[in-house]
Amino acid sequence: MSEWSVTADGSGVEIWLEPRLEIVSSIRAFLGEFVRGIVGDPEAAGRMEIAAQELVENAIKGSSEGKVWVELSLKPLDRTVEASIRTTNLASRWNIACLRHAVDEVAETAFSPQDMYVAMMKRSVGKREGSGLGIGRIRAEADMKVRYDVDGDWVTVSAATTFQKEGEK
Amino acid sequence: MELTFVDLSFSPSLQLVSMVREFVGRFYSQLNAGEEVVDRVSLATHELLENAVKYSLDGLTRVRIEYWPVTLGGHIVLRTWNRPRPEDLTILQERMAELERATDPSSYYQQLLERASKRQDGSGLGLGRVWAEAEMTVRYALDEAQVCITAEARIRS
Repeated sequence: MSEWSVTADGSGVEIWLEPRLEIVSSIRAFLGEFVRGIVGDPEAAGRMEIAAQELVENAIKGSSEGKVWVELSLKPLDRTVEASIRTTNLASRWNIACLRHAVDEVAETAFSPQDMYVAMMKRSVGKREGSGLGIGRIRAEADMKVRYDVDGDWVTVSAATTFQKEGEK
Repeated sequence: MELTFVDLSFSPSLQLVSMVREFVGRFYSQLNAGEEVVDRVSLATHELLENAVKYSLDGLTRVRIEYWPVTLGGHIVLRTWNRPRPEDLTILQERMAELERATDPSSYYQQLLERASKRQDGSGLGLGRVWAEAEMTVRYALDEAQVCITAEARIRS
């Protein structure tokens, strides 16, 4: 029997899948419904859907081979819920470099997230790959902080935020 | 396609159970696992999760659905983990003992249907349905106060 992993710490989803773009919208919709069902906040669910869409799509497009791993975590605290979504995949050096550039640019900008995102959109016109727009959208529209971790050829990208519990707003 | 899995830990409501069932069906359909896999996995997911919701001490449940292709088919394993109330654990053990004694899934399921029409409490149909209609073997394991139900099937193409 596998190790028990459900505790009172919260709720979570893990999906290990083949990198197929046609599955992105199903995962996005499911994670949004899951968050809505657990947290009860449509706005929070909408933000998580944006992050799920962009991270899962990026992971699938950037996957050099094999699988993509998607994790969602909801941890209730006293009056808030810590929410995060994370993807892990094998990636080429070029994709890792593009990712590093996009996340670092969004994290270090002196502009507001919205102005940064507009600048990224203007810059990406005509660009087919590696625009970094997804990262910018997560920061600007989902209002979530993005970080990455690289371990050899494996890259993990995560987006995190904190929601107010219903009734605490 | 190699191994894929969906693993959820949460406090499921019956509404969430239906939502999970629909997603699991879409997920494996979009991964081209085949209609038979989709139907059997969806049914077993729904029944096992519904049981986990109904017979839970603390409302916490984990469900894991794994599928991987093998020669001339595929392999499905579904597991749920939860902590049942003591009285529900007793009922589960009785039903599992009954299921293990039964030799024919369809006949056993028919008996359950007839019995369910006379019951006011839980019908006990879920595990029988997983065995008879999803055609999956069902077993359980107990670890202190935690129960793991495993449903498993080999799909032949």
